[in-house]
Amino acid sequence: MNDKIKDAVSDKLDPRTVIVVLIVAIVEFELFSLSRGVVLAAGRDAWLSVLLGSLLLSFTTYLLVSLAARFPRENLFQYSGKVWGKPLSYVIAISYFIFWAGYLTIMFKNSMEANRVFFLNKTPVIIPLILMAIGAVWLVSYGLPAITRFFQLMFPFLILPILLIQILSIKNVKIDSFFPIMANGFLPVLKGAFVYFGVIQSLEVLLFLSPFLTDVKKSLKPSLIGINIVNLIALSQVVTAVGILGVKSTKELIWPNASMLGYLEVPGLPIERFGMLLTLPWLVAVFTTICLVLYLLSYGIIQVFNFRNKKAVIYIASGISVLATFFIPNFAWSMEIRNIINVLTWGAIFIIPVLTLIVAILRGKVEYQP
Amino acid sequence: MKKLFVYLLIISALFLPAGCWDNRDLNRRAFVTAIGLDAADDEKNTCKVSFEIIRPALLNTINQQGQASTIRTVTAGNIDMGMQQLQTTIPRVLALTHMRVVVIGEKMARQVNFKDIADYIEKNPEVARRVHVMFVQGGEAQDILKIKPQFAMYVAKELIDLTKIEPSIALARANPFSGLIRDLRATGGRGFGERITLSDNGKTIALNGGAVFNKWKVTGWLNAAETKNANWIVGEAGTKVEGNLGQGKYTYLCQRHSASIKPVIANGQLSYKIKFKSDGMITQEQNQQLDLTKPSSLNKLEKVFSQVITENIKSAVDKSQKELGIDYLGFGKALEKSNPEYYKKLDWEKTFPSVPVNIEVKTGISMVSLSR
Repeated sequence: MNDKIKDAVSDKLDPRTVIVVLIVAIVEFELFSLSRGVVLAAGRDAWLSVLLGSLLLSFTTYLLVSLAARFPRENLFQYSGKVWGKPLSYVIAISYFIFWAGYLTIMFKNSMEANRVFFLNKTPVIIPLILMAIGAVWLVSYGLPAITRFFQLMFPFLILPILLIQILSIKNVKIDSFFPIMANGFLPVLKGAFVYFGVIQSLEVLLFLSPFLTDVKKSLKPSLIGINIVNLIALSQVVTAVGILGVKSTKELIWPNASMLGYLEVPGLPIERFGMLLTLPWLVAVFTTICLVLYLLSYGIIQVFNFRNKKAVIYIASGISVLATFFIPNFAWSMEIRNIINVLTWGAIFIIPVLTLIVAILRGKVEYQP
Repeated sequence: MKKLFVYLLIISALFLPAGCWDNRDLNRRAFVTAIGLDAADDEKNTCKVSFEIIRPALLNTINQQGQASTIRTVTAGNIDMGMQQLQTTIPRVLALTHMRVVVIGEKMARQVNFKDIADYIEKNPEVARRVHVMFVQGGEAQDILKIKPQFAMYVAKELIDLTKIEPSIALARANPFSGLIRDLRATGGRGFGERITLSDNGKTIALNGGAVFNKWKVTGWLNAAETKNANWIVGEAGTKVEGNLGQGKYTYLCQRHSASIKPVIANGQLSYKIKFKSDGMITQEQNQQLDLTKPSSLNKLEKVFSQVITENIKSAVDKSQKELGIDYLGFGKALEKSNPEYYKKLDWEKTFPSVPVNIEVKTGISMVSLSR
């Protein structure tokens, strides 16, 4: 394994950028469907599940930053060899590669499906995918600092429409949809929290961003702010879905928060269809997350297997992911795969990093002692 | 060289943008604004589907017909099949993006599970879910779509304009598709939808009253007066009521009201308490004038109108419990919310008609309008 990071670590980022990176990296297509998953598990108490999941995510974020702070100039693949030993570190790296490749494929697949349903139903599905992949390859080839700066640029285009949608939706929320609270006990809430936690892919970026930060220790506060803004967005999605559509309709609809836009009516506004508000954040959210995951996958492979031709690896990784979408036969299968990835997320953002932290503490492994 | 290749690749990609395939020229589209559904006497094609299609060229002109739309009816198995059939006769691509109204004839509404129609609305990405679904009492949907609109250029617009004032009219049940499907799903098929009728020898449409659902089908109707009574519990519209005191006849405008349904379980017996509060003003006195600047006069009138509203609410409850035996006023939902375990044990359909309901009304008169 190569100990060097292939992109420019000299291009340091302010720890405050972590807020934007986390929000833009985590928010993706699933934002519009997460309500369904959580409501299927927790019913009308889905909002409690999101709150519980948020607490767990905040704690996980603290642990991830603690782990990153022990090795401020290295990423997970570099220090996992020191903590776990070489063979296990390869197993860990390959597990992450499989997870990211699957996640990347399912994001391309979801983009393809959304295009067919909402936007470009006659366009051959491969065309928008290729255009998106070319854009992603181009950005990723400049490395994580460039991706981060792109995220900063795109942030308003993602957050402002989402905010506007929520403001427009909030008056239609029926509070009685949330009562009685915990009528079926605490177990469904716990199940819902488990589901919600699994939806938050890409939090592991904290373990790969640290070498680019000027001061990793100062990134705890921005990380917690970032993850809790994501939690707030998720909470608002669940509250508006349950409060406007009701529990049963939320369970019935594939993309409840996208469907919900069709119910909105704002007296006095000349705009009749609010679906257009979805287009921009959807594109930004999906593209940015694809870029980040493609970066993690391709640079991880480059680093672990010491490949020299960086661009070739990025092209191949994105090409294989795009092609793999055609092996997912239908929408039901892509939902199944998404569910599997949501379970694997527990391993990627919690189990592996937390075990690594515990072993590092027990074995006294630390890169840098102030 | 390598860069040049990449640039050429990107530039060539510009020739393949989505517009080539998904080019949607407005001049090549026919916008459907309303769909009417009626039962057909055909074993295979069970549905008469009527479409109101906008004729854009007539939208900004005053023509002799005074209507900027055309109505086409086809007989098919369902809406999709009907559209497919209709498309063969229309030289433009049919689009549902501006569809605002679905009108369903009585026979169809009584025969067909509304879930099937709702499924079409929810699955079709072109259809905005804020459509209004209206049920025609004693008639067919195509008759509604064929009337000559009086204040708009096409029927759907006239219907939508009616729905916009509907929430402020207590004689009508205002419940767009989003609310109706939510109620139906939450109760397993019980609900209270919008009713439309034809009057004046089929020349005028009236959007008042309500359609009562049970098991996802329309099973009964409420006329305007009955809907007004029901709206004391489920509606938000302000309304006027008359009451008598001595020789005088008084009109009370209820401007604000709130009603809550509270289940009470005492000694294992279920009963309900409806708590109602209102505030408003006296808008007319006939036969006898009271000095409305005296608190005692207002107190007397408040008692009168409390009694009137109590009777109205009682009529609404009786209609629901005794006449129709369908809980469309939300008693079951209230119990499910406050005591889900108890609710689960009950066969609600059998229990509901005999549950005692107590009504507590507090009417306030905080204004007397402009003269005493």
